[in-house]
Amino acid sequence: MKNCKHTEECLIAFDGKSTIDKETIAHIQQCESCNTLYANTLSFHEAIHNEKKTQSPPFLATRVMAALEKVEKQGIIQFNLRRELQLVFVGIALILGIFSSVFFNKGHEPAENTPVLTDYFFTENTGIEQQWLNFDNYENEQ
Amino acid sequence: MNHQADDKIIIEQILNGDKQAYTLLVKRYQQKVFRLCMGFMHNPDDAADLTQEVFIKAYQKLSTYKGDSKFSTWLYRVSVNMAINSQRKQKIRATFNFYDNGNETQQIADTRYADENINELEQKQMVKKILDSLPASQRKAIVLSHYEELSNKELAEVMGLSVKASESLLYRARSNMQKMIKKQK
Repeated sequence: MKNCKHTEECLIAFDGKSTIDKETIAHIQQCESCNTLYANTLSFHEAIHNEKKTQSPPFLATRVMAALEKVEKQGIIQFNLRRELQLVFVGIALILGIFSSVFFNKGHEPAENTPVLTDYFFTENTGIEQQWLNFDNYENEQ
Repeated sequence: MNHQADDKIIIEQILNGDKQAYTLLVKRYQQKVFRLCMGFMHNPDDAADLTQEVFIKAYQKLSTYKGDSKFSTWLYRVSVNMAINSQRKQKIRATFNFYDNGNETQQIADTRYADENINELEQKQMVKKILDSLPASQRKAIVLSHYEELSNKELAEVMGLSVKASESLLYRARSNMQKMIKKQK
């Protein structure tokens, strides 16, 4: 007579179709827990068998091709949209670049009340520069 | 001409721009993919949606198929990975929608199974509960082995494992499955 452990081992290998040896069957008939396990295992495999029998929907191929078409169209639209967005972004960046350069350069332009530096060289009050310019004369004086 | 060589010709045609040739591949493998999806989703509507997604993904990634293995092996690989991802998403969605749609989901389930007998419904729930409790790799192994009836060698190819490793994985999966069945008393 086979024991419970052996029966459990047998049921692990059991796939719903394979045969179980007579001795194990005899043990299953006598042992309540093994009997329950066997019944549940059979029920489990029967459920799998029923699920396997389910047929795929009849127009699945048509459905797949239609979905594929849709996905590809969406892909093209998204691609085009991305390209257009890129163009818009580059355009905006260019415009901003031009305007910002104009705007920031305004600060470097001389204001109307800024004294014209060229006049400075024609004044007599040149200060320290005058001395520096006449450095040779200073040497001569020495 | 055998299927494998035929598949490669069709794939070449598709890659050369003949999109309609893909219909042949879809028709050839739709039942297999659908059955595999049933193993993960356990209801025909979700399985059909997932099958559609699998074929779209496969079409988009067709250029990555090198032809080293059978097309069916490659397709199974895409399918199981997508199924696992889909289940993860479902779980996340269920977590966030638990309080909002809990009753609604139950109502849908009730309507869907209204015609089925209670015993069959219980069996379905048991299968779903047991398979969902397994780790992802073990679930993949069980579905490929029990639903698609792949041999250990084919299973190893799909899972990217050695034959020994796939046998061991399948044994662990069945063993865990039995522990869960034992708890179902």
